[in-house]
Amino acid sequence: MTNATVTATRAALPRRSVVVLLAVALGAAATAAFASPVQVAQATLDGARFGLVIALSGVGLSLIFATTGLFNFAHGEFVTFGAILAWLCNVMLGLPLTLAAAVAVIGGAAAGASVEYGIWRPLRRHGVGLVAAIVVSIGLAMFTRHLFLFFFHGQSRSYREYTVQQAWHLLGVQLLPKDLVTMLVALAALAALGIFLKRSRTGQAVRATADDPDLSQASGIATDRVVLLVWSLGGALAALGGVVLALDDQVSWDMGFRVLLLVIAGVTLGGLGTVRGAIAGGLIIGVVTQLSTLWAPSELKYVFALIALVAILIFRPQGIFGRAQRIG
Amino acid sequence: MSGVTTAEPVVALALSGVRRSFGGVRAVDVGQMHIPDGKLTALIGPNGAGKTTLFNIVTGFERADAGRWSFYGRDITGMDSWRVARAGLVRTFQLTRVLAEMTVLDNLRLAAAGQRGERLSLALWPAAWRKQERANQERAEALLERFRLADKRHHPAAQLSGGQRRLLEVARALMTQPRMLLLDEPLAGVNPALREDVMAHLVALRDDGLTILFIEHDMDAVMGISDHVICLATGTPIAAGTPAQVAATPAVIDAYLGVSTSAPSGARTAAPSGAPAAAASRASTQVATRPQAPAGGPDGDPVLSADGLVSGYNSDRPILQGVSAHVGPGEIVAIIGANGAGKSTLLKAVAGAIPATAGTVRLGQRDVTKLAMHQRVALGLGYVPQSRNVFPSLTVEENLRMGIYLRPREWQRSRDRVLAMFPALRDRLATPAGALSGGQRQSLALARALMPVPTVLLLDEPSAGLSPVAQEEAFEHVCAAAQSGVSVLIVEQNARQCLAISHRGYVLEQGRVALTGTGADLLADPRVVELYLGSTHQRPPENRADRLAPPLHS
Amino acid sequence: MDLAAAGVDALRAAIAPATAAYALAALGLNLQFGYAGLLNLGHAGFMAVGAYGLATTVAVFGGGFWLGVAVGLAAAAAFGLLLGMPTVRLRADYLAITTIAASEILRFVLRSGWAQPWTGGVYGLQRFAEEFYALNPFATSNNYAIGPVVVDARTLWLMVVGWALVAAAAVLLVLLLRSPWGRVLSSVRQDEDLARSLGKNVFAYKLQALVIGGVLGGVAGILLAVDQQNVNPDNYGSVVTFFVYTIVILGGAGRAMAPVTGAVVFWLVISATDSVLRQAVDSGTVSWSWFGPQQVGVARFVLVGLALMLIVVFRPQGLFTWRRRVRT
Repeated sequence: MTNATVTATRAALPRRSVVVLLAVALGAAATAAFASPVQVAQATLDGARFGLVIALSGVGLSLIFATTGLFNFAHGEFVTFGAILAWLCNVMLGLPLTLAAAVAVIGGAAAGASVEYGIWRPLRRHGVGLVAAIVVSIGLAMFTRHLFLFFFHGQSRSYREYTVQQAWHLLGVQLLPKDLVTMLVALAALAALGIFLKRSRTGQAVRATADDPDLSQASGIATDRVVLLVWSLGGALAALGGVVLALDDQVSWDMGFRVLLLVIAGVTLGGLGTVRGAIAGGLIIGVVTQLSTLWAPSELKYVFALIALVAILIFRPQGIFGRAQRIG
Repeated sequence: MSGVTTAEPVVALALSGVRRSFGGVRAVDVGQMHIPDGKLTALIGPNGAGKTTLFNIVTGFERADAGRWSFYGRDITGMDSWRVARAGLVRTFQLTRVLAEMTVLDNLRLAAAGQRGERLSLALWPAAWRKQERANQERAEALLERFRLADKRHHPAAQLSGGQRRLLEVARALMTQPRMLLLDEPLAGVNPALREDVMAHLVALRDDGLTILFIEHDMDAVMGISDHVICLATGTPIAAGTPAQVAATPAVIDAYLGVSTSAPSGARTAAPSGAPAAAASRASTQVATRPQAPAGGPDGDPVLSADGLVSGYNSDRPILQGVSAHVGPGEIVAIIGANGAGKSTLLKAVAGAIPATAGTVRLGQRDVTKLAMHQRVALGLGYVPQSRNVFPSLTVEENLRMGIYLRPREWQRSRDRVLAMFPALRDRLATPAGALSGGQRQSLALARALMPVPTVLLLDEPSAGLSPVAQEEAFEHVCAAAQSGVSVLIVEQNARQCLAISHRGYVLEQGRVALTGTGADLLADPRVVELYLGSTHQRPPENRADRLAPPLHS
Repeated sequence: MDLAAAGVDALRAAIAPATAAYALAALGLNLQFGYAGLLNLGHAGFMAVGAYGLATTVAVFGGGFWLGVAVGLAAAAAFGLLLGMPTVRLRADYLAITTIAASEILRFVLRSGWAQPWTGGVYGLQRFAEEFYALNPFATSNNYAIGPVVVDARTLWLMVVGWALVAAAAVLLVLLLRSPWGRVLSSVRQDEDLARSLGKNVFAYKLQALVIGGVLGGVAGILLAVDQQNVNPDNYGSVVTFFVYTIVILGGAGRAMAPVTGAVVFWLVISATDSVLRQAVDSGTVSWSWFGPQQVGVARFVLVGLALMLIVVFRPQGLFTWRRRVRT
């Protein structure tokens, strides 16, 4: 990583946040030309909620990529797993949803750890290449997803609680209580992760491993254990993302797969490897998606997010907050 | 080419104002450089002098920050690498690259230029390219004969030995019918028997009219066969001329061995008489002094010992061929040697970054050969790699925290102690390490490793890429560390300054220990200079023609 | 249980026109992935473009069948150029994401109401292959027997055409790959920088491989469309791409004829498994409460996912090759 690039990055960061906000504000303003300010505000709020869920689901993918270099195409299945596990606890076992969510998070952590321990660590030991690993993750995704279909069946189902709610009205904008909870939970989890990575000793070890695994080993850090932690965290957060996603969208066997590309778009746009990037990218994707429904047919709303993804990869693969060295 | 002298020598490759920096460090800074046509020119210089970077820039594999360069008068600045090759300027790579899955013959057939069959529009029309293919095949077979690889023609290239691969690379480059060849260390990894052959081939190619520029560390080759030599140090040419002229230039000797820390010693008796005055003035700069010999003396149990280490990056081609060395308590031990001798590899094997195929590594009494690096660190080993030795996106303070990762409770005490040693870091605690200058990074790298007070510290070229002042500082820090009880095993290109502060040293050559002794003895030993620069008198040019197969009729 | 019937079903699937189509798609993907090293995850997009090129020309614009085929092929080539020019220089994982995003964008657009006038939206298009079947030399009232398998005249005609195309494509590819062009492509995959140092325009070769492979995918799409006499956007989801990958890897990526073997074996096994499972459930041989008739269809996906993982890890040279690939 060149000196010049880092200095430029540091100086550009505050500028970049401003540019991002400005861009989104402009977009909202432009959209207002097609719709009333209330509609724009509503779309922005809905988009922010969706964006935070995407960020929550994808930050694990981002960290896994940063520490191991693997792009995990099976990440969507952690999301589905969390939602299904919570559903089982909530509907079959009768636990309150909050408790079911906690179980889902723990289950997600366990799933992440198992996958790393049982599949990725042995593959790394055997020197399996990047392309082969991606293909393995695709196979794993198809396998687990259809196991979910196998046991959960095809129809969508809801949790027992919070299905129908009275919306609050604020200046013409509607907000369901569960949506507010979703946003708060996502923000809290992401903030906690950010603080963990920045302040705690283990979190710094994670960042060190992402920077340079060999030097981390030279500092006494057992990088294998760090990677295991990252996978557990990734699984846990994605599972939580699945639970809040299902609050709005219901639980279905392929819910994770359906948002996978958007999740990838969010974390890539924001910059792989940073929590800040996941939040920024997720928010942009969410808001752009919702705002587009104001002037384009709603069935095309995801297309704009995907176009943004393709554009980012072609012109600036490190995303907004990512570092040039990580890429290519 | 007969002996017709032209009024002005033709310039094959001309560079002007070419500059390239990495991370605040100037890698290449060439004001003017001319490579003459029809000659064998050697490009020499210590590790990190920018030779390969220069190759990469000129052939389009890397970009330059500034400057222009031209090939036989044609401006090729910024040209794509494949176009440069097509223009006739062909390069080989420092680490041998063969297409392992293809046969030897196919490797050569691929290289032929201007193949009609390579165009998609004609590929399915064999009639259009069959004749050309056959002609290429004949040329390839002839080259295989010339380089004595003919019996391997249908074998996958992966089955060739290291030296044969090198020959294949040269043959492949010749298939392109270049106007000029850039060879990056053509003799590296080639066993002595084959070396003479390769050198003879290069001479023959020059005689056939090919212009060759080659990077080499093998000084016998450089002095023996080149017509013209250019020496590069920290990215800038510091000497150019005939081999004898360059070998006798004091600046060249200094570039390889480092600035002298004393009056002219026996090591420089071959220098022309103008040197002593210059050397004396250089000796007056502030230098680090060797710390007191450890109280325990050399009889104390070694804190680190390596016995018969065999190791490398590839298990069937080890770089270390059975190295034994040890470090006593409180000692500073130097590992020096020419490029490719295995110095960094030794440190990596001792640290655990690469596995050892044979031999043992001991920390004190404990055998750590089977342990991973982080486990060795937990037992008191410290390691500072040569490059990538700080965490760029972590702040200075966080870097230090990582140094004391295993004993977080000692954070405050260690932090204060280390910051007292490196006061310059105090003002920059919140700066990301990637934003620091080269010298500051080196200090931080050392500071990080010193946080847990390791029993033995492994340092890989701590002075590399630093300004002279920063180099002095680095060596002072090493002395200070040793004085506080840390034993140090230091690999250095800067042999003189390093030996000046070391209690003992080992000189590596081709993966083995060639010389060992106290720091002072090695500093005065003329054999050390020879190992770096070859013998300082020029060998009479041998007639090597009889070693060759019948010449190629092109 | 009637295993013989299951065997006949499996044979039928192995020689079916759809299998020929998958063989063509796999030949194309093999060129892109096995020979050029491009991790194209958007192959379904090429198939869709070919199919819709035909269907839209005939069913919407009233053009002739052969015009439709020409349009489909041209569209596939254009899609390849459009996709390839900015992306073939990207690193493997970014190329993967970009291609799958492009393919999904295409699918969203095809199924949108906005595009319905040209693509039929979610309903797709039908009745565009009459001209083709009119050329059928086999008497349509008869059934024909190929060994134990009985097919009707239309299927037979399509099988003849389909497998003839496969043979032609395979021969062309073998010739191409054995030419100097193929030699350069192989060098590009093994060591790009080395290829450049020998004066080869790496970008051009990768792009050519992408486009040729894509056109073969387009032919496959056309064949599938004619077989089903229906194009529907959801038939070209990413699952199709993953099936083709499994076929390529099953046969051995990088072996010229292997995709054909892979396709035949793939559908043979899938069909046999389907039949056996279905019979087991229907006849009561298997009477677990969680394994009902709906689960039978899912089983194939679970198997494919598992197979993809296992083959990549344990036998990357494919199941049917005997010559071990030399590892660099």
